[in-house]
Amino acid sequence: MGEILVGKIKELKSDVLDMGKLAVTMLKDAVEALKSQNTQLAETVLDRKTEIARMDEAIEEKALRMIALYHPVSRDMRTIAAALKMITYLTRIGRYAKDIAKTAVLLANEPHLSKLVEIPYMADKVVGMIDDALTAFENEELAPLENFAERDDEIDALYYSIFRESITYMMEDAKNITKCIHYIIIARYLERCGDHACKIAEKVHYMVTGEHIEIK
Amino acid sequence: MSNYAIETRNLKIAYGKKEVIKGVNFKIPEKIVFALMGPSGCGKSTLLRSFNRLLDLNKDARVSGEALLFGQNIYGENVDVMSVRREIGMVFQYPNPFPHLTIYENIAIGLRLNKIVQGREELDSRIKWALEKASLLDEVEDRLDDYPSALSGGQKQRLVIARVLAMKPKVLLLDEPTANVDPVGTKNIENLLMELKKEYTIVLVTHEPAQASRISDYVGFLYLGELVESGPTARIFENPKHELTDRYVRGILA
Amino acid sequence: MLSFRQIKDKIFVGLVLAGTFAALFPLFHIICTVVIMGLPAILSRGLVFFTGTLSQGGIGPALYGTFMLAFLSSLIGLPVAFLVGLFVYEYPESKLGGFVKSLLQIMLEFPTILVGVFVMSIMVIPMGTYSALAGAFALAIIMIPYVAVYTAEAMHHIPTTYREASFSLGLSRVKSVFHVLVPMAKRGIMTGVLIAIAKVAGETAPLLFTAGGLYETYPQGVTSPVGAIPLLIYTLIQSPSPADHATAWGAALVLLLIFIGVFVPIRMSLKEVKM
Repeated sequence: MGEILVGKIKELKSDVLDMGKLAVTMLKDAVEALKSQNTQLAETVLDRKTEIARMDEAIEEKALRMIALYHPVSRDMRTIAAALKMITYLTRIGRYAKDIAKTAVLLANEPHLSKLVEIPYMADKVVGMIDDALTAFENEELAPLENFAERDDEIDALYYSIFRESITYMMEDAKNITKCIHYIIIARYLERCGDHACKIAEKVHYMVTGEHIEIK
Repeated sequence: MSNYAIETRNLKIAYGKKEVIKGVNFKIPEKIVFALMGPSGCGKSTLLRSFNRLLDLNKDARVSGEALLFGQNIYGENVDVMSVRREIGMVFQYPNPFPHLTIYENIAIGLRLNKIVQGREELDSRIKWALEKASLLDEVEDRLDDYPSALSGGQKQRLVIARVLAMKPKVLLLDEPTANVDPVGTKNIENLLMELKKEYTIVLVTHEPAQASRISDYVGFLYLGELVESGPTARIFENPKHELTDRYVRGILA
Repeated sequence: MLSFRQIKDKIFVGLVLAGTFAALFPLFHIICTVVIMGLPAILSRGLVFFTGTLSQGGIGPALYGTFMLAFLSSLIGLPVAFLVGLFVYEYPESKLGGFVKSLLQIMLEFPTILVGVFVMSIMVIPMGTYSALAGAFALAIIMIPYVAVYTAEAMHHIPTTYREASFSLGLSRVKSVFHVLVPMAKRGIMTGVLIAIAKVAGETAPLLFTAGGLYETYPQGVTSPVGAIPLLIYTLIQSPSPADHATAWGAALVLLLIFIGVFVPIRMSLKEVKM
């Protein structure tokens, strides 16, 4: 029985990784569409939103069935538990990507202020964290998660920096207000995605070590 | 008086020259279910049989180290082996009520031969009490003079538990008690053990990790005569420290 | 049309049946002959055959002697045999246990006439007379290995788990063995006892030099000679008289009936113990 479960878990992990890749590319593409004012690319992100929701449901069902049928324990149980939580975070990330893509469509007609402030840079950082968390999950290792707390602090700092910069632009010229509020909201989304990356890292840590930690 | 029902100190058991238990140390607190799990042939049954000196029946078995029952070394000098066995009841893998004795006599025999109770009335009430404790009274009350062959596997096993409880032991040893019992009987016995642990310390040998996880408070994992890991059941099944334990509970230990 | 395989099958079944018949035929032949030859002798003489002395045409003293010898030899042999059997079972690895076990095997195969000679030398000659006691003693010696081996075997067949159960109740070895395990092995032990009794009831050789023979009066006591049915048959068959031969056949039938009478009812009445 153990061997059967081992195979099923492998399958489950690869499903979660596929979903993770989808969420990451959605986020990357949304920010790219925003930056290059590419509405076509933005539309594809919106389309992919249903795919990620479907994956969420399918993986959850698969994981619950494994619990019911195989009574997993130890590392198997922890992997399934981690997967169940991770797909929720990945769905959220996908949903933020969708929201950013929507905004990209709205902001496609006018040039961006100051090259979009630091949003692309912040997005790279966030994507990097999600990627590392997924790598840690894939290889069941802790090394990629090492300085997540510091990286999360950096994300938070970037958020405040974008926030302040946007406020400056708004005070300079009231015509900037709409654009800047969107920037702030997008930065807020990215900051949340960073938090989700941290939550994924916590679950991976639990999966690997069996211990619960909190990344602050 | 020690707080532990059973404690072993570097306990080693050998059959002739072959060492089957290689120096184990653990402490079993009172009034809990302690499950000893491990693959077949890892020495679980041998270890269990050393706790009530049933191992003495095997001429080749050699025990060294200490096994303490409430702080007293049962392998010490001047130990009354028979009184040790009365204090530690044992239930076996194969349900073994004595086939030539009635249900009543199966429980009475230990009490009579050990002269534990006086008079028919006291005997009657002790037997009823033991059957009640073993959750069997309702099922056999009107057929105490039947032979155990009329009982199901699970009932036979509970009869054996009643036979043991009648002696008022402090510790119950169970050697894979549900290995020859159907699922319903297994469930009944497991429920009974959950009830009995309120008053007795229970040491259960099982080759089925799922059973250990269902009913035990503490688990010890024995592998090739060594205690690889022991600890609270929830911890062992969520997050075992040892690679072998992990593989065993997950069912992938070759 | 039968295939080759089916033919082979039929031939095999036929061979097995033929073999079985060949083995059983002598047994049926003996039983039939004894009944055919013995029954007229008994019927023509009636009750006198069972109670009368030899000159009255009866086998009364011999019949009485056989029962007496069986009883006396059981009295002497069974307790010893039972304890020896238990000893062999309980201490198989001890030196003495191993020795006794081999000794029992030898005794099983020992020529019975030598037992008669031995008892004659230690009892009949010192006492100066044949006696029931000497006969019973010789029969007891023959009885012992059967009962002991059957006892040890019956005990051996009890699954270890019952032994463990008994000991784990805190019972001593003696209590475990006598109060729990022996009652469990009752059926096997009783089978041994019956076989031994049937065996000694049919023995002739050990009685030749020990019991003596007594056919004209009923025995007086254990220290005086007694007769026995096999011994009587042995004596009568050597006589040229057809009447003696008829008596011998009748006695043989009686011996057969004793055999069946000992075996069947007690075996059936022994309760089957399910393990």
